[in-house]
Amino acid sequence: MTTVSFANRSFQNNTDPVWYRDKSIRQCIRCCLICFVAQMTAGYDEATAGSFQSMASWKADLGHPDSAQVGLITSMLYAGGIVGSIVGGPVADLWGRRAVLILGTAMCIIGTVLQASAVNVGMFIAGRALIGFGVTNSLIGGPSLVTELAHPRIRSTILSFVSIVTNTP
Amino acid sequence: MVVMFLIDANKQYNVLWYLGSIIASWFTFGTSYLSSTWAWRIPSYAQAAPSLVLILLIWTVPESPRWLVAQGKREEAHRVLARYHANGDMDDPLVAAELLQFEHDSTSKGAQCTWTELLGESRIRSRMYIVIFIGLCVDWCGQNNITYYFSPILDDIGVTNATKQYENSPGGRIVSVQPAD
Repeated sequence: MTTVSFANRSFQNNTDPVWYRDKSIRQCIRCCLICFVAQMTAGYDEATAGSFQSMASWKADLGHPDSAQVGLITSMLYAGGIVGSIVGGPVADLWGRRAVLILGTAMCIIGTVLQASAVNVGMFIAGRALIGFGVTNSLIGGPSLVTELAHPRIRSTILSFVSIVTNTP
Repeated sequence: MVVMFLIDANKQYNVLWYLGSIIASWFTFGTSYLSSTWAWRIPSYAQAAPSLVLILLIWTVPESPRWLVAQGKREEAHRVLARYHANGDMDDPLVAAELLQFEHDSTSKGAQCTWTELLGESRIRSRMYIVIFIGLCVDWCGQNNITYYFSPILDDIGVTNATKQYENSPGGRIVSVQPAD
């Protein structure tokens, strides 16, 4: 038993005073970590798209895209993102935070396969549009699910906790 | 309060953004030595890895109790809260307080905020301008141009023979993790 502050008041709560000894808090942390994984896709995407431009095999496979096409490849991620952000909000309210996270992740996988197996610029651009759509949906679903599911005791700490782990090495 | 948590949440999202970016940089740096089509196809396929991890494990994560209450699924929200916030104790005082709070929020006016309300009142509208302006400033600082066109930029400034080492800039991305926080 421990006392937890919630909405400016204190409540008795059936959790161990030491957070890592408590099963339900450990479960909360596990769930939050799973939700965070999605964001890696966005960072990964931007770095690869930048690097591909210097690869001779990439240029050859896509029929040597001109600068306008390269611009489209870059911006298509955000065009997909705009559509994703319009769709994501209502989906999160109607079918839930988890549904929007699953939708985003599934779109990322489909987009990735399309992009990775591209035989021309059009296919590559379509893949990136889907990735943009998916990443934005993950961004809507992930933080809201973490915020609403985390135990009040660790709500802000767990979010900072991930940051410390990432920055320590 | 919610805004405070969202700031925290977004902070972590940024850090993981750079972690993904670092992995991608080093990965493409490695595969760029391949001369075949797999030089870019391998890192492209690998992009699905975090998504696959998430889609396999998301089924073990429960739905948000706040959303469940808003949908009228109070019993399910009660079970989720008891399991994740009180080791399965359905009569826990904290769980009861959270349920009450969620019920109150889902019926109060703030829960059904519309676009007309956001843009209609000048006091709220000026806050919206701040939100939009911050978004624009963050994205228009030129960071995207640099990450996307890093190798042409290096070519232009004459780093052509060192391009192999610099194009993916793995070192630069590691440095970026710190400002992200």
